[in-house]
Amino acid sequence: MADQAEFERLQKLHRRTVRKVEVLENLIEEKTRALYQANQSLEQANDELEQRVDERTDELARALRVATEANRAKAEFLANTSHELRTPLHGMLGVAEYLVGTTQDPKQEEALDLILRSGRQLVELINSVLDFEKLDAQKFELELLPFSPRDLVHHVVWLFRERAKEKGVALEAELGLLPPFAVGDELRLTQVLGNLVSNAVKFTTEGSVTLRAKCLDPETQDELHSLPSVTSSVAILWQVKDTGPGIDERRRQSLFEPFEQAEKSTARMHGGTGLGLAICKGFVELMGSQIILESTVDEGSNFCFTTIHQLAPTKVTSVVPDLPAADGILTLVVDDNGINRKVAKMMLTRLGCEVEVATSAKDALELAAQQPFDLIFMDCHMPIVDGYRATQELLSRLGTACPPIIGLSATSDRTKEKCLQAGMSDFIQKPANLKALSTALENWAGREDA
Amino acid sequence: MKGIIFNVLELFVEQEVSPGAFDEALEEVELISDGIFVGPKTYPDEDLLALVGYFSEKLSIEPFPLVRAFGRFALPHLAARFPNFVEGHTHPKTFLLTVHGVIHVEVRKLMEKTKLPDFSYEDPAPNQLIMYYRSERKLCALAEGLILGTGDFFETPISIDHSECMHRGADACKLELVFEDGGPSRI
Repeated sequence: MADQAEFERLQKLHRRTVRKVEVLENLIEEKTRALYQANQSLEQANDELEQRVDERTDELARALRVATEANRAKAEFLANTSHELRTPLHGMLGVAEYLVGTTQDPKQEEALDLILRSGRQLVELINSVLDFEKLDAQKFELELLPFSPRDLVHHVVWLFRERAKEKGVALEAELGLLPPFAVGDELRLTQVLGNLVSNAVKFTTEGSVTLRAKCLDPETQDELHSLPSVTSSVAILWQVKDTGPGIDERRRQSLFEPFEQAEKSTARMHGGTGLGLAICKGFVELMGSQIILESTVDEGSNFCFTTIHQLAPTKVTSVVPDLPAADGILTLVVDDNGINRKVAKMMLTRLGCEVEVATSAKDALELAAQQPFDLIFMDCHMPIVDGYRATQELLSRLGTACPPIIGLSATSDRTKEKCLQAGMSDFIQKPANLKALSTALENWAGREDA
Repeated sequence: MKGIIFNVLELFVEQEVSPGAFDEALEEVELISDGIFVGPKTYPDEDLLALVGYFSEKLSIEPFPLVRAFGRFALPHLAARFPNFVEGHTHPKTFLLTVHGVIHVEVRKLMEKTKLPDFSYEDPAPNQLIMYYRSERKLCALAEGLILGTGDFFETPISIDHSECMHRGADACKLELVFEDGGPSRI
């Protein structure tokens, strides 16, 4: 009996187990189907996602191409516009400078002064926008040539001495040990220090602004007390310190951002595009350094940066031999633009020169072969034969009899370097002013009192 | 109720009552389902209550201690089936603290349509833990049993004071636990 009962129990258990297996088989099949469908959906979703990623990538690539092209077009437009703007400005400022001192009427003098100030402001603005654009597009290249750090500091102080004097602020240069000549981009360093000094003078109402420069050991950053050999390099610490209102922590954060000024009212009160410090930052970074700002509200600010320079034995000299000093310097102005020729002639005549003009490289070669000029002012951008080729041709034909040639151009992009490479002695950026022309005469035509 | 609970109940009955007792119950009790319980499927709660009622009457044991004994029996079997949940724990207190926030969350991912109770905790002292149990099923006896089973699994005796109960009108069952080893080591 007991065996029978046990047998029946096991039979029941077996039946139930078999049914359980059936249920589980069905369940597995159901789950497998669900899993398969889920997998299919997942694969489909994945395909769709890949397609969307591809489409989006294509869209982004297209957008990038369009943006790059637009940016290139913008940069080109800016460069062209800048050149086109500088050319008439060159004319306008030249004529205004020529007229200064020619009238007894104080109202006319004031009007001329206004034209000059506004024009110079416009030139600065064009330069800032162009520099910023080039820095932004990472297309800026430094022009590394020998320069005198000492002269650079004195020049920057000289540029702002009048403005500081008007405000009753002491502007001083403090020079430590500096090499006579170092290799660097003099123009850009002048621009950076000029901007920092200009800001310092602008915002300081009493006390002083000090521009300091001294040599440091590039490795240890310790101050140098004797210069190493000319094959070595030095670090120069540049520092602009003022006793102005100072800049608080929050504003210091965004001060070097483009279109930012410490005070929003600054633009109204002091003018400026808000690009100055952004450009300074860009130039200093390009020189492998960064501007450090320390400032205490109501006590003053201190901007400093360090640049590394190869030492240069002497400033680069022209391949053209110097001419003896002479009065009544005979100059040749080569420029295809009629207004520019006229302005240059007016200004050089004002400075006491005798002036001949040529409208093309061909004319220049003919005139230079006929007369012994003391100095040639050569426009770089001329149709058919440009100023660089014309210079090379003049040097080749006249040899040592060739007078010094000064390049003139409204574009600034590595132009000085190109001029010197072509054999010119110097370069003046348009719009040229009387001071620049006078300096060129003094330096290259032996004129004592220009 | 998930099929795994019925499967463990079958084991409990076969072991604690007699071989064949579960089959007899299936023949005698009127169930909503067909009585073929497989782990992943969900079955009516009424079937579990009917089976509990049947055994309570048959064995002359009140449903509460019977369900509690089943819970205590079930815990090690559930732990064996889902070892990941107990891994890394050396004390019942740390394990019990993960029931609501970890284990129930994972169970919901594994098993669709699962109805799980809510637990909230108070941790007044290292050797104590207060667990508040809330469930429409009011299976606090099963919860008590599972807690005691956790103590057995980690070889740490636990005493439970079931001071407030949903069956006596409370919003939640208050289960005040004391771990007789003094609580989990801080090391």
